Amino acid sequence: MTDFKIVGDGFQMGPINLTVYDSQKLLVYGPNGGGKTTFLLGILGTLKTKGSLMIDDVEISSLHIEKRGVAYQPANPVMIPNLKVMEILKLADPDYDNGLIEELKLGRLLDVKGSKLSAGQARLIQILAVLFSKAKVALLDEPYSFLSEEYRNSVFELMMKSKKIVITTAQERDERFDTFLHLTHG
Amino acid sequence: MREKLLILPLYFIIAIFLIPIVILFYLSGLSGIVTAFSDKSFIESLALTFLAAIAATFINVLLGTPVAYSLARKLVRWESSAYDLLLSPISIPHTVVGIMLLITFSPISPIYFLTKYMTVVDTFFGMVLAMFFVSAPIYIMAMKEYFERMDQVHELFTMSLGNDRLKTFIKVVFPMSSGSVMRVSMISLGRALSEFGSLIILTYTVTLAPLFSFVSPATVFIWYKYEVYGLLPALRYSSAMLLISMLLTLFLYLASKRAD
Repeated sequence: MTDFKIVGDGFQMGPINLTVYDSQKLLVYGPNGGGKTTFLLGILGTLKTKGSLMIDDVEISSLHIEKRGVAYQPANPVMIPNLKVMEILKLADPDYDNGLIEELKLGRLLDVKGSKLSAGQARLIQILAVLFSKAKVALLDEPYSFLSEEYRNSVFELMMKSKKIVITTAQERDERFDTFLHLTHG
Repeated sequence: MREKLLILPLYFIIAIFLIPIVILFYLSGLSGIVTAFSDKSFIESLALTFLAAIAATFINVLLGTPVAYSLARKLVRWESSAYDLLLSPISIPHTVVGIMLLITFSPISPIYFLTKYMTVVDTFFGMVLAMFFVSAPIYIMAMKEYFERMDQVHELFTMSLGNDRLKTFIKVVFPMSSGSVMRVSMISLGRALSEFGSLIILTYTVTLAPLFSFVSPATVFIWYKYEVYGLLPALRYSSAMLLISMLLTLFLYLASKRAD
């Protein structure tokens, strides 16, 4: 991103100049209200932006959400209430990796509707859907919240193994990531 | 004590609504309702009216829901003008609606070369069209407000996975909205059922072979009984229709609760 600014009602974030390479994992960290979610929503395309935002030399800032190649896990751990987990995962990839689901001991959830999931289960399915999708960039907003210690480690491993560019938010810096963006003032 | 001043109008309005209903049922009595339901011509009239109102409501759901969603998400540049235009039938007197539709499909219409293949006078199509005309603005207005209030998190999530807006609407938004669609349909159906002004001009009697032959819409039927036979028969038919409408409303309300 070059001279990338996010413009809202009475605020502006940026300009941000940042280059993230293939498969790189970027951690956006900072305190509450620092602008981490705003940064993700700017990349997703739900907020007005200025400047350049490119993926693989293609300018995506004027593209609709579904064409950007940017999959988003929202901070709110809610899941599409009327669809079964299996149907939700198929929205990401009709041939999703069932082996991984079994490995994570989530097979029993496949026939459960989104409305019946706990916050932690919904969070896991959100992350899996994002990582299963064909998007080149995964935006994960506070992915560890609502997860048990065991699943936090599993999610971290999945993120690191993923071929996508993963942009994650957290309150604290985590040295296991390779690139950092510190946001403090929104 | 001062709070009661806020609640007081509630009792007043409920009384205004409820007292005439109770008086209607009281004066017609159970025997009056039974007499009305044993009249074959009234049953035919009710059946025709409900069939047409359900058809108009179905068209509202089919066309009005995507329209309301498009307006709520500002998918059209002239969203504000489009919305004003779609709401304008609310302020048109319904007898005028009847006359407008009548002339649009008549030989004096400048677009008669297009409309001559469709007959609205005394047809089921004309009845559904008039009911749709008067109920669609209410449906669109209520559904637009619902979509505006709806949390968009599921839509954004689904679209970011690579699904276009149409697929997101069909797979996620519409099924999630089924409870509200039913609740708003109930209001829309009620509006269609109660239509009189345009129907008396357009479809005084309807023929739809083999189901209906010279059958009047229920509101026209009741008006005819009142004009020709006086208050007592009109009371019976009115309370019978009100009873059916209330039962239908209750059924749809329970169905929408279940859909939630």
